[in-house]
Amino acid sequence: MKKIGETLFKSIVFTAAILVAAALFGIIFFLFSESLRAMKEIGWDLFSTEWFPVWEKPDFGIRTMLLNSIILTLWTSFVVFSIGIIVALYLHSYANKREKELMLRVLEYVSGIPSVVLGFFGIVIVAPILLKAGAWTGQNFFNASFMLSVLTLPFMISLSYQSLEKVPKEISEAAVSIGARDFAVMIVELRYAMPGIVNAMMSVFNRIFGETMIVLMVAGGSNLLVRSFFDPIRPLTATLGSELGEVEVKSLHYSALFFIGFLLLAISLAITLLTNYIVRWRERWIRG
Amino acid sequence: MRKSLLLLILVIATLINAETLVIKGSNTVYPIAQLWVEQFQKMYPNVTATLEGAGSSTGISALLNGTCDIANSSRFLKAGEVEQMHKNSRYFVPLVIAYDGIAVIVNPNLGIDSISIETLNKIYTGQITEWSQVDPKLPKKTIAAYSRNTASGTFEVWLEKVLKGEKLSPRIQMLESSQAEIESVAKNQYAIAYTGMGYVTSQVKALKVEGIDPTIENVLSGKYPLSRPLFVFFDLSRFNNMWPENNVIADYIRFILSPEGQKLVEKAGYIPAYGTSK
Repeated sequence: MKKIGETLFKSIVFTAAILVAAALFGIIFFLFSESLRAMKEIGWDLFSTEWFPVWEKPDFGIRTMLLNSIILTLWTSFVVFSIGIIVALYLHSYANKREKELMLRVLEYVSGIPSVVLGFFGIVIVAPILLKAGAWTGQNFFNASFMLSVLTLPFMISLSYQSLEKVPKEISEAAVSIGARDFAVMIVELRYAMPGIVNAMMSVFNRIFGETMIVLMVAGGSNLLVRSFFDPIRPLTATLGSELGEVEVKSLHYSALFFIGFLLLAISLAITLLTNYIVRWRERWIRG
Repeated sequence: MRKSLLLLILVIATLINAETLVIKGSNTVYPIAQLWVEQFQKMYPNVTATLEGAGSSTGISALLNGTCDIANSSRFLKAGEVEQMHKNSRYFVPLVIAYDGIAVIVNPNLGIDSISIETLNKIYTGQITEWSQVDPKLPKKTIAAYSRNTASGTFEVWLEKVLKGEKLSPRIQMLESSQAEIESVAKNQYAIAYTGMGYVTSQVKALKVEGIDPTIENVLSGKYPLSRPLFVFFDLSRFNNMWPENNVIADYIRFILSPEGQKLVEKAGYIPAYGTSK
């Protein structure tokens, strides 16, 4: 009897695992097959700058949006990584117990805020402040970047902090005993915690790259290549989120939107694989 | 046990007995149709009405294929569609059920009251980027021009009547909803946007277009340039070209033309084709 139960349980778990894997491949295949038409009919023009999907002679060029997406993600990631690691180091090395508890509790709450609420906050509170500061429009690159930082900083801080806490006491004590100062000790600890931090960086990067609601609401929605912090932009995800709901099914526009989805997935998968490769097989690169 | 069985049979019986009404078409008309269907099902509980917004063309071709009973459309039939209709000896009856009037809105603090379509075209195609180019009396400030996203019916009108098929300047900011437009224009003193007339609030100022005030009367009389009629089509050839007195389609049409039905048009932010009670 026990054996039957065990076998049954095993088979259920096995099926579940298979289903998840199948779903992932199913999604990739679905996105690919739906975007095939755009790839065939538009070809390399998919990477031109003009995106005019509903005009009589439509253009489906995603270059501007792709570049804006990448620039926004790189800049925001840079900000989030630097602030996140500095705060995590502070919590790890200087903060007393009460400070730590308070900060971690606050971060937990902040990380639970839905992105649509953050977007709303960006429109209602941040945009008027930016206007007062001299921006010609309230929804812009800076606003989006700021709200995305608010969204992802809690993850970055708490994940980096956890990695730092896992550094064995012997490592830091050894550093101290050979005469290292605070700063040098921190470097040693950071290096030891690096694989965890790199993982955190990857998930933050992917989160920013794929975030739709915030950029849809506060990035500005214009197909302008960003030149200053106050330029309105429209990242790829915003276009997808804005247009997919109303597009005629199976049309060229529909297919072009699926191409965007496919591209987003491909980039995000590539980054994940690269990070895994670095963390697993090339630990030396980052630990030194 | 027996009672529940009886109930089940009763439910199945009503389901089999129920009439269906399939409505398809324009996304512009969708918000109105949604309110209509909701109310209509309350009045006729034995009717199962389904509503799908997939674009005017899809709705009209569905009516031609016989896969829907009512087609919503934000435009009149194209020449090709009329030909198709004759080829299949069909008889589509068009009803103007509402008008989509578009107001051009700016911040109340901006010293401008009237604007021409030509100027609007220049702003939205990017030939003009500062207010002083519109009127030398206005400040030399960058125009923050907003547009609804390309999926919206409001944008369709803009593309046809203001852009006239020309391409939108990349500086134009796409917004996802009329509320977002009102909000943005109310906050930014140098912003301009356009929105369905039903959405205009006191937070923003609606401009005269070509000297004509955006009022319901001016839309109904056809003076106001930024408006278009919205249609509902049904196929009379299914009833031997006779008015289907006892059919659910007739009930539906009677309802949407009634004062209650037309009030829902207003609620959805459009202009009732049969005037308002005001």
